[in-house]
Amino acid sequence: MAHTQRSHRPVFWVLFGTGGFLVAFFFPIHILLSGLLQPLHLVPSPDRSQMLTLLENPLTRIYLAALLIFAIWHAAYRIRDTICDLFGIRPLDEVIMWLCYAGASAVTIAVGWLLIFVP
Amino acid sequence: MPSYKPFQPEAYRPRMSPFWYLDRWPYFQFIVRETSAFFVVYFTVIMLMQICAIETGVGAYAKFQAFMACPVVMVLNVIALASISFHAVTWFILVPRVFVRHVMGNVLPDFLISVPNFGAWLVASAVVAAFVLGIF
Repeated sequence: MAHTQRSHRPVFWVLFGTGGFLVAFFFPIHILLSGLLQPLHLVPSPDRSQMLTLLENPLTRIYLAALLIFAIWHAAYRIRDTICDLFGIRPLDEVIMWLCYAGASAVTIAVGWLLIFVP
Repeated sequence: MPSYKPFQPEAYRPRMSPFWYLDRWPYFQFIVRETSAFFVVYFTVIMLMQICAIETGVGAYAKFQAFMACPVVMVLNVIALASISFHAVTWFILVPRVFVRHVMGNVLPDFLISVPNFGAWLVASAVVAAFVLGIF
């Protein structure tokens, strides 16, 4: 029997699914506060030293790392299919997949750099 | 010699309009939800910029705050919030489709599985808000 290659989609689907939950639960409140209410001065904005204290807490770093890494892989998985469907270019799927996953890998490294290596 | 063939096997290629997602309301909802992924990338980058600014110093953080207050960014944030909230609502409603929902031989009604997600969403938002606003 000919060798059949198994799809690697399930691996990325797990990242997509977990990311989908994290994005749904946590992104709206972050956008609402940091993106709208704080710039409009409708709610208090803690100063840089308070934010740094919060950021220096290991639990905050674990939360942010998990949120951002799963979110970017969720987006990469979805953007890959969205680009193929939106522009009708499914034959280019392989190329688009590599571009999306390379982008997500780059962001994963950036998240690691900012949250693990910078003291 | 005639050039005909008894039959001409050809691959079946259904023709699709490039704007197929405008044909039906569910298609349009589908593509709107899918494009939320672009805004996820956008705000992931914004949050990385924020982390970077906080780590760099007072001046960098002030610059970041000024950047967030500029009108173009605010408009993008409104669209991102609407788009990702739509993703969230549809995601929570879909949960009964993918979760095991048999309890002692009975199938639980959909709302018993999707409604708790909205409660958890509220709690998660409240906890994040308490930290971001400096209440904790």
